Amino acid sequence: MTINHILILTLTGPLVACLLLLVLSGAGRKWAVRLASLPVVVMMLSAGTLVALVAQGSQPVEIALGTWISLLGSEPTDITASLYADSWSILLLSTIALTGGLIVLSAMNSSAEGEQRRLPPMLLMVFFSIAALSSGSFLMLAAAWELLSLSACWLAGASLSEPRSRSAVRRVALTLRAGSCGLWLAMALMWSSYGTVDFSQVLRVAGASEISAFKNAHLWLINAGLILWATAACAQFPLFLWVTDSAEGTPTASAMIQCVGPGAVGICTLVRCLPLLTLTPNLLLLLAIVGGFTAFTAGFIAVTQTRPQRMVAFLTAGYFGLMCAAIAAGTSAGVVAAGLLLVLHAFGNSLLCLACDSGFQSRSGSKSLIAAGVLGLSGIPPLSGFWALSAIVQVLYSQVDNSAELTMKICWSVTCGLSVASVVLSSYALVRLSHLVSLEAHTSDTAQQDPAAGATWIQMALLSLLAISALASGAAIGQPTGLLSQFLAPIFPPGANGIENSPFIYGICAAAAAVGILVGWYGPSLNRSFPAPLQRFVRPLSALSRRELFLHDFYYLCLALPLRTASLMARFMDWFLLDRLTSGLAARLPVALARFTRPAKTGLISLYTMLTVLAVSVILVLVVWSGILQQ
Amino acid sequence: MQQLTNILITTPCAGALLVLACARFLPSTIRCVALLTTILSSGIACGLAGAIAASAGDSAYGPHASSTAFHADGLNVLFLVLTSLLTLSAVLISWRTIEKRAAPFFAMLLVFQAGALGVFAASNVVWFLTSWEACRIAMFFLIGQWGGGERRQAAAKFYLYTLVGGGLVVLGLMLLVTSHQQLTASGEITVSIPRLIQETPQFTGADTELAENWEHRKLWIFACLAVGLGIQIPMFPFHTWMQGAQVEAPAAGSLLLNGVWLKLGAFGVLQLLLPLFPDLCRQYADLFRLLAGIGVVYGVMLSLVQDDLKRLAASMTLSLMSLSVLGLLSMNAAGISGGILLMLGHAAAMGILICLTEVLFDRFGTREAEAFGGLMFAYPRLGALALLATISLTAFPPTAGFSATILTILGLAERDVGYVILTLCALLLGTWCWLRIIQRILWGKTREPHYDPRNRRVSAQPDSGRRRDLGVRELAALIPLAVVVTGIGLVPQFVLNQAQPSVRQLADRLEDEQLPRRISVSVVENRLGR
Repeated sequence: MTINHILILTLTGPLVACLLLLVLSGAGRKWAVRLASLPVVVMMLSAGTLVALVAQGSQPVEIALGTWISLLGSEPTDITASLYADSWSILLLSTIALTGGLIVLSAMNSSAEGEQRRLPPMLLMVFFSIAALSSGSFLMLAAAWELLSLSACWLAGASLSEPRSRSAVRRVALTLRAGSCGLWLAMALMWSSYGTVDFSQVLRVAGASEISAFKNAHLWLINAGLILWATAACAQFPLFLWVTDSAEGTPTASAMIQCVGPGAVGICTLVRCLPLLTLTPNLLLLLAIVGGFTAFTAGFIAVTQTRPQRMVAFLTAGYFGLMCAAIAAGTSAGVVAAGLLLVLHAFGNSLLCLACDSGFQSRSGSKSLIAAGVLGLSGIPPLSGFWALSAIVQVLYSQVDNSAELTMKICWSVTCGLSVASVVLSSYALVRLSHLVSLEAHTSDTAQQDPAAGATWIQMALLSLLAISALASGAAIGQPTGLLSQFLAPIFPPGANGIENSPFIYGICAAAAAVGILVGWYGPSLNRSFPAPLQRFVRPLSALSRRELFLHDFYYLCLALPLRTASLMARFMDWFLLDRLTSGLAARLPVALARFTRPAKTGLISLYTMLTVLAVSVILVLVVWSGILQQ
Repeated sequence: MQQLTNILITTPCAGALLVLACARFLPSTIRCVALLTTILSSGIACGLAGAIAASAGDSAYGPHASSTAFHADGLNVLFLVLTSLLTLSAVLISWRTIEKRAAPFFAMLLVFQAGALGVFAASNVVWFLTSWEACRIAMFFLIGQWGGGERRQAAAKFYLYTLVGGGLVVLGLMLLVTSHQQLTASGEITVSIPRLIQETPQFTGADTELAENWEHRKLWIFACLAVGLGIQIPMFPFHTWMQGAQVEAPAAGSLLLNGVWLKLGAFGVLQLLLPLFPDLCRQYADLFRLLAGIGVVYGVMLSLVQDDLKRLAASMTLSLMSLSVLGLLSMNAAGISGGILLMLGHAAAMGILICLTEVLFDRFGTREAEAFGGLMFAYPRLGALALLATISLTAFPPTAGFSATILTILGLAERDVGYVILTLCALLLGTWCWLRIIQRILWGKTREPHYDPRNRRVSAQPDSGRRRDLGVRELAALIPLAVVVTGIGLVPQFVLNQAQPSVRQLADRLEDEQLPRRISVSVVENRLGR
C-alpha cells in the first residue's frame, strides 16, 4: 500500500462513515453508529501512518482525479481535479483527521439527546476539511470550501434551538460566503493571469520575478482575495462573530466547528499560499495587524463572558489571530510557530469544548481534564502552550528587528505587543473558564436527574487522550525536539531557520502567562477592592467587552439596515421611475386598447389583431424608410 | 438527424391539433394527449442530443445544410432538450390546476413549445421570425387567458414590450437580408442564417462604395438587433414587463417564460449578434456589459426584501440572466461556456422553484413566504427539492449554479476584474436573500396557512386532503429538472462537449487582439529551466 492509498483512505473514511449512517439508520441506529465508527478509526490510523511515513522523508503526494472542465480555444485549457499534499500539509491534515476522529467518536458514544442526529454533518465537515487541505487546485479547494461551509451551517443549525440557530446559521453562511468571494476573486485572477488554477503551477509561476512585475495589480488583488478569505475562515476581526454564535450549541458541534472546521482549513491554506503572499509584503503586514488585533480583542471579550462555550469560542478566534500574525511574518519560523499552535489548539480547545459539557461534570476526574486543558493552553512552562505562544512572540519580535522601514517596525512592534497582551488575556480567560465550569457543575443537577446523560468511559478515555496531547504536544514536537521544523525542511529553501531560542522571550511569555493566571485567580476579589476612580475606568471597558465591541449593532446598522433601505429604494425606482414614468405611456396604451375592445365578444383576439396590424404597419413604414435611405 | 429535427418540431404542432380535436370528441383525454406529446418530444430531443454527441458535435456557425429550414447542432440541441423537458414539466404541473378551457390551454403550451423549438432550430430568417411570433402569441394567450387577477394588463404589457423588441429584430434582420443581397456579387437573396453569418463579416474592409454604405448601415442593424434582443432577455432597464408577466402567468406560463422565452433572447445574442457583428460587439461591449452589470446587482437588490415567491423569482431572474449575458459578452471560451451553462442551470433550478411555488399556492392559496414555516419536516420531498434549487441558484457545489458561475467568473476575469467583483457582491447578496427565504419557509416552527380552495379564501379549518407532500405526478415534473441541475454541476464537461465546437468558433471570431495575453505556464517553466 503506497502513501497515495493511505491519503485516499484518510480522505474517504469520514465519507464512508457518513454514507453508512445515512443508509443504515433505518435498520437500527445503534448498529449503524457502531459500523460507522470503523471507517472513522481507519481514518485516524491512516492519518497516523501518513505522519509516520512523511517523518521518514517521503515525497509529496500527487493524485490526479481527472479533468473537470476542458475548454478548447486558441489556448486550450483544462481545469483538473487532483490531490496534492506535501509534508507540511500532511502533518496538519493528520492533526485535523485525528482531532475530528476523536470528536466524532466521542459523539458516537454519547448518550445525549440528538447527538446521533448531528453525526452526518460532523463527518461531512471532517471529510470536506481534509479534501480542502489536500486539494491540488484552487477550484477543488473552492468546491470543498463551499461544501464545508454548508456542513458547518447544517451542524450549527442542528445543534442550536430556534431562534438562535436561525441567526447563527445566517451568520455562518454569510461570513463564509464573503470569504469564498475572496477566494473566487483570487482564483479568477489567477486564471486570467497565469491560465491555471493548479496550486503548484500558480505558486511556481508567481514566484518567477518577471511575472511579479508583469501583473502587479492582479497579484495584489489575488492576495487581497486570499486574505479576505482567510479573515472570514479564521474568524478574524470584524468577521469573528460567526464562530462565537455557532459554537454555542452542543459541545461536540462546538468542538468540531472550532477545531476541525473552516478556521483550520484557512490557516493551512494560508501556509500553502505563503510563497504567493510574500510577494505583497504590505498585505502580509495588514494580515499581521488584523491577527494581532483579533487576538487582543478576542481575549478582551473572552474575559467578561459568562457562558463557557462562548468564552472558548472567543479564545479560538484569538488563537487563530496569533496564528495569522505568525504566518504573516512570511518566514519558516512563523509557519512552524503557527503550526505548533494549530496542533495545540486542535487538541486543547476540543478538550475544553467537550469538557464543558454537563455530562462530564458528573464523572470523577473531569476537573483534572479541564485543568489539563487550561494548563496546556495557558502558557505555563514547560507545557505545550508555553512553547507555542513563545514561538509566536519570538517570530513577531524578530520581525521588529528585521524590518528596515520605521513604519514597518512600528507595525510589527504593535503586533508583537498585542500578542503578548493576548497571552495575558487568554490565560486570564482560561482560569475564569475553569471557575465558570466548576460553578456550573455545582448548580447543574442534570447528572442527578438523568444518570444516562453522563459521559461513558469511552468518552472519558478519549478526553484523557486529548488532555495528554494538549499538555505534551508542544514539548514533543516544538522547540525542545525541533520535530516540527523537520516537516518544513522539504518545502522551504535550504538555510531557512526554525524558531530561535531566546531566554528573553521565554521570560516575557512565562511572565505574561503568570500575570494572566494570577489576575484570573484573584481577579474577582481584587475587583471589589479597586479604588473608585479605577472602578470608574474599568466599568466602561468591561461594558464594551461584554457587548462584544457592539459588533452586532455594527452589523445591523452598517450592513443590514442600509441594504434593506437600498432594496426598498430599488423597488420604488423600479415601480415609479422605470415602470410608471419611463414606460408609463407604453404600459398604458395596451390597457387603453383593452378597454376599447372590451365590449367586443372576444376582446383579447381583437386586441391581438389590432396590435399585429399596428406592428406590421410599423415594420412596413420602417422598411420603406430604409429603402428611401438606400436610394 | 435532419429528419429527426423536423419531427421534433412538428410533434408539438400535431399534438396541439390533436388536443383541440380531442376537446370535441374525447374531452377526458386532453391531458393525456398533451402529456404523451411532450414525452415523445422529450424522447426525440434526447435522442437527437445523443446522435449529435455520437457524431462529436457540430458547430452552429459551420457550413452545414443551409438550405434546410431547421437543423440541430451541438449548441442548439441543449436548448431543444431543455425546452422539451420544461414543457413536460409544465403539462404535469398544470394537470389539476387548469380546469376551465383545458384544451386551448394545453394546445397553447404545445404551440409555444413548437415555436420555441423552431426558434432554436431555425436555420433561416423566415422560420426564425415565424416561430418567434408563434411563441409570442401563445405566451400572450397563456398569460391573458389563464393568468392571475391582473392578467390582462400583464399580457398587454408583455405583448407590447416584446412587440417592440421583436419588431426591432425583424427590422434588423430584414435590413440585413437586403444589405446582403446588395453587397454580394451575384445579387442573390438569401435568408439562410449560417450563410449570412459566414458572409456578412467579409463585407467589412471590402474596398467598394457599397462596402462603405454597409459600414454605415451595419451600425443600424446591430443597434436594432441589440436593443430588440435586450428587451427580450430582458436587460436593465427594459425588464419591467417581466415582473408582471411572470407573476400573473399561470405556473406553466411562468415556467416556460422563465426557462424558454427569456432564453430565446440570449440565444439570439449567441446565434445572431455575436457571430454577425464581432467587431461592433467588441466596440460596444462595454456599454452592454455595463447594463448587464447593473442588472446583476439591481435584480438582487429588488429581491432582498421580497416576500412573494413569484416576484422573488422574477427579480432573481433579472440578475441571473444579466449574469449570463455578462458571460456571453466576455467573448472568450470560458465566459461563453459559463453563460450557456448558467442559462441551462437557471432554467432548471428556477423551474423547480416555480413549480414548488405553484404546489404551495395550490395547497395553501398563498405565495407569501411569511405565511410558511418548518415545511422541511412536514413535507420532506418538497423541502429537499427547494433546497436543491436554492443551492444551485446560490452557486454552491455540486450543482449547475456552481460550475456555471465559476466559468462565467473565470471568463469575466479575462475581460474586466471590476465585473468579477460586482458579480461576487451580487452573489453574496443573493445568498443572503435566498437564505432568508429558505430559512423562513423550510425551518423553524411549522406554519401553514389554512386555505379553502373552493371559496378561494383562508378558512378556519385546514383541508387535510390537499395538504400532502409532493405526489408522483409532481415528482415526475420536478425530477428531470433536478437531474439537469445536479448533472450539469457534477459533469459540466458532458454538456460543454456538445457546445465546444460552436463556442470555440465563436470565441475565435470574437478574439480581441488588444487584450493583454495571459502568462503561459509552460513558457515560464521553460524560462526558469524546469
